[in-house]
Amino acid sequence: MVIPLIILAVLSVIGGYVGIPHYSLIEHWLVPVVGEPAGEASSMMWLLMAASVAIGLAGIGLGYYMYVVKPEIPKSIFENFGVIYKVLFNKYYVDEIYDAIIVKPIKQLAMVCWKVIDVIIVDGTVLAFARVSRFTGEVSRLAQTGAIQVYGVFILLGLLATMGYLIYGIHH
Amino acid sequence: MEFITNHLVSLVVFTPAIFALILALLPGDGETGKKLLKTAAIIFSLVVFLLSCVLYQTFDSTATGFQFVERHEWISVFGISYYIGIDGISLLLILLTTFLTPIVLLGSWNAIEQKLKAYLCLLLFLETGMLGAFVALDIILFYGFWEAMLIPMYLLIGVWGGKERIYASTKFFLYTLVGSLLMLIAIFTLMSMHKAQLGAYSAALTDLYKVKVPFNGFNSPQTWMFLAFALAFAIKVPLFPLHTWLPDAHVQAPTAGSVILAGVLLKLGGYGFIRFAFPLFPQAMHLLAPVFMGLSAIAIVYGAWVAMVQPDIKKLVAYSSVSHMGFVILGLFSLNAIAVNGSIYQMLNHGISTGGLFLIVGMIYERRHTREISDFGGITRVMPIFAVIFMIVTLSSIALPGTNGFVGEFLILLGAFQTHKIITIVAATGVIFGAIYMLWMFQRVMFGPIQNNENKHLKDLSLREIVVMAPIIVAIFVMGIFPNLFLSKMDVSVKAFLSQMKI
Repeated sequence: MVIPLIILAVLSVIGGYVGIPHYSLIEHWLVPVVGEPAGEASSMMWLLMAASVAIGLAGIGLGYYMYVVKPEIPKSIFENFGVIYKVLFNKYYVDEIYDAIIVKPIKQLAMVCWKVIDVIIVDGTVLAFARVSRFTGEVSRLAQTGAIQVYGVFILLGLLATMGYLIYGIHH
Repeated sequence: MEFITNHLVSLVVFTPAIFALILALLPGDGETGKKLLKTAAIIFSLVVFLLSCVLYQTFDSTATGFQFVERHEWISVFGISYYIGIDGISLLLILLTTFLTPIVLLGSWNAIEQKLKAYLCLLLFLETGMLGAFVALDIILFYGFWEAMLIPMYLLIGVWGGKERIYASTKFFLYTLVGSLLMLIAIFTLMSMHKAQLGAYSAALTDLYKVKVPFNGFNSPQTWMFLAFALAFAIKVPLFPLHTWLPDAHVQAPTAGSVILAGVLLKLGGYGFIRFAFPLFPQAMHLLAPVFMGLSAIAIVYGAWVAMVQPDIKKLVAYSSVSHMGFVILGLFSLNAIAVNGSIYQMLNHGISTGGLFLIVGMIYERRHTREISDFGGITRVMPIFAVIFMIVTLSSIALPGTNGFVGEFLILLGAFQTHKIITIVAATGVIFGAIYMLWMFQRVMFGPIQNNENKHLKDLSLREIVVMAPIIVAIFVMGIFPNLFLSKMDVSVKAFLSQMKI
């Protein structure tokens, strides 16, 4: 794993120089499409660049001093400021916080979407239509007894209804 | 030669069915017989693909209107005719169909042991059904092909499917049929309106476009007829909340069935909106567009979330289809050139990438007879070639720039944003969730240590399997890097479609 890290480290050291204002190799790359940039690089920009480089270098220096020159410092920090050390050691718990407030709730919500909304509500409604059809069939099946007399009664009732309609019409 | 050029579309449509009949007459006993059948089916489907390539070559992408038009009287009393023709949109969907069919035939080389001949014939019949629906310009002819597709697919799932195949195939059949029947009633109404307004029955689409369907707000004939058509197409797409037949059908279907179902059948829903529901009922479409855009945004996010928590890879891919097809509907209802182009492109993409994913799931299932994500892990170590192909298809499904998926999703979101900002912002989160469920699944299946001893001696892809996946990989990159090969073919047609939609 060290070799890829070395390659990446070298590239990241060089990579930054590609974009330095006025000395940049890619400054005019997209000009044909997006046009010349509106503002010039201001002194503020240089200041910010210098500051961030300084902060980076200070961090490297501090790390070198603490872990190479005087390795006993981290130990004493751990003993004296245990909580702060732990928070820093766990990267401010960003991963854990992210997991708790974003990853887990979305997973639970997705579970509800699947198990409750999809299976019970949406698909349940579809299957309810199937059940209604089957129920209607099962109820009307009961009328099909096979007994001629029963059919005769229904035919008689139908005849009477038709005659009634023909004689009195629908309004009476 | 002249006969061929005059009837090229008919040839493309009916060659598979004729080949299926020939196939039915070939001897298919024993190992050699089976090999003969399979080889013949693949060669037949390649012939159809070549024919459709001729179609692509001779298609004039600058001309407006339908090309390769053929019209013969059929049931003159009701103005029904054998009326077919293609524009740039149907051309690309035809190519997708003829491209995927030989791939699935080769892909199911070892998968089918029972009733091989019937299986191959049904796949070829299915191809004719799908192609017919893409070229029909007579609405009754369209309806015929539309329903004819159901039968082979019903049998493919019901005979060669998994454990719950009867439940899944019956659900698929009834669900899609119910939607289609309401559409049939709307078709009859439309044809009678044509008689009332223009003096005679006609089922020709070009005539029906001229019918003025009464419209005054929500409770008017046009809206109800649009809804009847939209129901049929939305079930096919499928749009939330009409999607629950899809996970069952996909999971139970044999690999070839899933690929064709996801790759082509779902596209018929989108195509139906473009060709029929939108131009026939433009005012109703404009009225209901926000509702459908909202539903598609829900489908995108909801489909992605449900996909995320699936323990079964095939079901995950099935729900990802709900999400991806949501993008298609979102783009169509945005109704501007960019989004509609994107939607049609996304239909092709989804056919390629989800078809590819189902093939991949099939390959891994043939080896392990399980699709549970938790049964896998560390497969990369034993199947490196498979891992590379799987990764490429996964990235295409996520819509990584450079792959086909990116072009479609990007155009859709860009176009939809101009029509409806908030809905598009919600839909755009689906892109992120898309990456989450696919990569998370890939990580659990392919990376990490091999936990399960049965996974230690899995064989990497055979030459046949590599040949199956190669055209899909090529298509992913060609469509991702040179989208103009396809976008240019449909540009004129999309413009014509949009001008039809102006009210």
